Amino acid sequence: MSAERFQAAMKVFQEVCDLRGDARDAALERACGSDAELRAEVEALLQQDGGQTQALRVDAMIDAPQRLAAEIADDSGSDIPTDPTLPKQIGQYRILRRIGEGGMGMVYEARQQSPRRTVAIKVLRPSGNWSSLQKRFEHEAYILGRLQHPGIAQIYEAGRENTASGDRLYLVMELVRGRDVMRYCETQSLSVRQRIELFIRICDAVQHAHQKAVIHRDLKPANILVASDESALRTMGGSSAPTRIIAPGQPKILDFGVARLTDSDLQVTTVQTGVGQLIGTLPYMSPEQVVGDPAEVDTRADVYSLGVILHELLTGQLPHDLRNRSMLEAARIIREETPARLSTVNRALRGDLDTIVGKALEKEKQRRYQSAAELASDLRSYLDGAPIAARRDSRWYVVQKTLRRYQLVAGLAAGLLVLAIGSAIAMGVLYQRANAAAQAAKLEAKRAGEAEAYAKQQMKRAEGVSSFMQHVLHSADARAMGRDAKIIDALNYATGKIDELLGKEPESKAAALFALSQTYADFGEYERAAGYVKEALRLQRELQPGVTDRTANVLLNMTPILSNAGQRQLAIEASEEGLRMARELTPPNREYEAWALSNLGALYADSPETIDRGEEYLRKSLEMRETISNDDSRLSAATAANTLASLLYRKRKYEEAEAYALRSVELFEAFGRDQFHPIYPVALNSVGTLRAELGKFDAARPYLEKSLKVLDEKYGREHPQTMNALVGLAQFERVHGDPNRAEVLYREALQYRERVGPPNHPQLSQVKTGLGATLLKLKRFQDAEPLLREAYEVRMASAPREFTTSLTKMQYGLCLYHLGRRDDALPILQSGVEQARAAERHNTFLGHEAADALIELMEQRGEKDYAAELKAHMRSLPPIPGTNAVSVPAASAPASASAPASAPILEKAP
Amino acid sequence: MLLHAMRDGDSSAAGRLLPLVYAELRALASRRLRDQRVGHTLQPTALVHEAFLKLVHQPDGAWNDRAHFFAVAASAMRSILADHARRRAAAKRGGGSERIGLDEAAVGTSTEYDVLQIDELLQQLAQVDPMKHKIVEMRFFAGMTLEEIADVLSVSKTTIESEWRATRAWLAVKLKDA
Repeated sequence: MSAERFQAAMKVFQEVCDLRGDARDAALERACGSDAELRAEVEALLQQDGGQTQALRVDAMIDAPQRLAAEIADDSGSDIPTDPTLPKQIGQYRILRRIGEGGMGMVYEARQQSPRRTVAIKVLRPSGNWSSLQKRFEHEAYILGRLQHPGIAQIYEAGRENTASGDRLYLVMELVRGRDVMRYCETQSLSVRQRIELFIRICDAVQHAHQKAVIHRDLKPANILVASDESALRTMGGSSAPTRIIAPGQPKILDFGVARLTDSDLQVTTVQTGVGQLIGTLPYMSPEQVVGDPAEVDTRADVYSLGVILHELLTGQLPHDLRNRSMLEAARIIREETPARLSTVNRALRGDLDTIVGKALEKEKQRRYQSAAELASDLRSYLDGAPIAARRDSRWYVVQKTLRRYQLVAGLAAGLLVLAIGSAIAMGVLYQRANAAAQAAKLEAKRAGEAEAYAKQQMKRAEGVSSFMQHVLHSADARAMGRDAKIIDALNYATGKIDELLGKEPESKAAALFALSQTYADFGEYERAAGYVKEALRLQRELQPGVTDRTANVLLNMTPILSNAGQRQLAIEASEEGLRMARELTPPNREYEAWALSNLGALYADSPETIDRGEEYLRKSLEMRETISNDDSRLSAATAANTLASLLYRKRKYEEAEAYALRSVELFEAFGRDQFHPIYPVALNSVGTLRAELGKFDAARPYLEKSLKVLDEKYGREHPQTMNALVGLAQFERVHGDPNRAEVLYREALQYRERVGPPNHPQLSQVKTGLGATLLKLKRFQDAEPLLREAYEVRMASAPREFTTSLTKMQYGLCLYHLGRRDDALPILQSGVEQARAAERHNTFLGHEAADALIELMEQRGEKDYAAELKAHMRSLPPIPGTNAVSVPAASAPASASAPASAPILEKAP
Repeated sequence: MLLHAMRDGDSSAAGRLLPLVYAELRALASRRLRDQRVGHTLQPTALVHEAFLKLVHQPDGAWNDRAHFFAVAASAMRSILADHARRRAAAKRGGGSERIGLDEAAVGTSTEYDVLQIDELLQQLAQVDPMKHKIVEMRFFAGMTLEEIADVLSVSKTTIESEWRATRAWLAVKLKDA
């Protein structure tokens, strides 16, 4: 095969492979001319292009090395000569059978004559560096000899024997029959309490070893056996033997083979295990073990492993799912990712247990339990119902961790994340440019030096932003600012230094200002955010005049900030300019275009005069995004679909709105479970709300429930959004569903609101009204009265003129009416009905019920004219339209979570 | 820097490091995986990554670039797998007394022969087009994605995709002929 022929065929193939039919033929004709052989070669290649049999065989090759490698692993035992037959005798021990293979060699079950007992013998495999193995072996024997605890497999003897094939080393130890601790718990179906009790015994054993300065370093369920009842009886040999009874349920830790001494033997061990060598089984390894630095590994590494084991014992799952991960990825996860909380696996485990496991699994050993005894002690407190020493992470610490990892974790204050993401984007851009510069350097050799200098400068700028951000974080030291330190204080402090730190680096400064504006926006400080983003834009225009990608990006990102700062016109202008730039860029940036369109759509949708234009823009944006097939775009399409649903909802086009909300949900769900987007639960709620609006109650409920469930999982039960969804569902059940269920939901919300909010918070009175109305419906008037009275008083004091207050008045008035307190009921009912009537929102079930009661009371009092007028008016009303007077978000009490989101959803990043 | 030396085509730079990686991978394959429990299957990617983890701690700091390492590791993996397949094939031809059914035989050996064939084809490819050769090596034997390969070879992803598509077709033709 000549290189020229090969290259030629390849080149032609690459030219024509994307063409079809005649165009391909023509191109082939042109490229090959009279060279029939070349043409035949290319055609053979084309035939194999894309998914045909032989090509599939090539693709299968990607897996082939995997299978082969697995075979190597199976084979490799045969590289080392081993004695295939069982030795009859080792020392004074008669070999009964082989039990298994340990890391160091074979393990046999053997019979000892005196004392008469059955033991386990570990025999060193005769291979490798004999003298180093021998040293290590003796070392292990020495360590184990120092450990005497019912929870640790006891060592009896270390021996050496001459055989024909050379020296043989062996270790005689207690034979433990049992199951590994995980399987034991499963087969015995132990309760949570029993599992914890068992685990505490494991901790006690580990503590014993730690006190003898021995670290296990490879704690895992496979190394912890528990004798079940029947095997305990068989543990020892003949009846005359000095028996060592293993209590059933006593865990035994095996294999201190890789342990090292924490004190003077450090040097020996370093040689023995090798710097950087990974020991142990990955999922149970502490972050410091994963890094592979033996100097960092101490007894607290075992505490971490214990944490993993406890997590697994309680949930049946590992804290980190490392299946199908490469070693590198697994190591990164262990070092960086926050483990799954117990409560996300099993809600029954939330609270103290969650906290205890969380503390054992801290990444930084200083934050862990400092000993196995401390861990055991907290578990004992837990079992006794006493307060535990570990307290939940302070909010600040969670924030700090998040920032350090620069990762998006749902459920944390979004503002902080934007700070992180913003600077990450800024740095990303700068690094990208540095890279591009390096490429340029390669292409233009003579300018290489110059370009490299430029690249370095770019790197420096990226580092500038990074160090500025670090400064922000550093200045926000929790200890210095107290436990309730707010990141915003830190930001305020640090931003004062922006000129001092970055004054001479305009590019870094622009990037930092941009990141800051995003952060302030997320704290709701839109005016400050607007100031910073305008400054960032000004600098950006100076640095890169004209139409640039980066300028368009800033323009589009500033839109939501300006809009929230009340500068709607400027927001529109920014997005219009961003839209123009997106179209003028070469090549035009379709993602930016779609982004600008959806921003503009949301802005225009906000005003009745421009709502049609908004609809048009949103439709166009959605259409564009559905054709751009990357993840960001599909996510944006999902968001845009929800925005459009919300717009159509406002235009009362419920059917179409429902279709878009459903589309939004579908798009989000196409990303799978791992990809959480904050709008996803909103879209679910939209579907539910719209269906309720359309009278499809049974079809609505699953969506409202799912929305609540997703929020619960991602943000936790007590997150305000979760609570809003809970109240929304309660309201739905009250009006359209099961009032008994509504009561349960309301009571949970009430408990929460009473705990966290100020006593007069409108959301609290909203819940009380809801619960009161539910009880009213259940005809439990006595129970309803105090709730409705309180809500009534709060509303009257805070917002007597608001429409929603009329609802409270009517509920309370009805309650009094049913309790027979007619004189009290009348003025309140009258005020409520009149207020609702003035707002022209009285044609509802509640309105009619209140009016009927009022008419009756007025008639009794002799106010015939009033009663007659009201009666005639109520009868003249059209049928109650749908049900919307109750389920429309605006008509419910304020701040209900009910979606579709009434505010335009502007996107922050493409 | 070695990485730059390698990017600029200094094959001896890779050559100097190859034995180190080879030894490590070989040792890993034979040592670590023997007592792996169920569900913990061996993947070349995992092997290579583990080797990487260990070798980055080398005191001489030779591994300052992840991409560089993977390029060398891919080569080493290929040698290991091909050697292994060759030995296995020879052992089977050498006539063990065990007889296996036709179907089993076909299933059991096709991988090995494919590896050997690919190895041969790769040698041909190395002569006529070193870049395509490298792409295949990294794709098959270090489990790298096209993006990662583009990164190592400092070319755009589109180029790699186009090269890979052509090479893939060529390999398919050759496998069919064989």
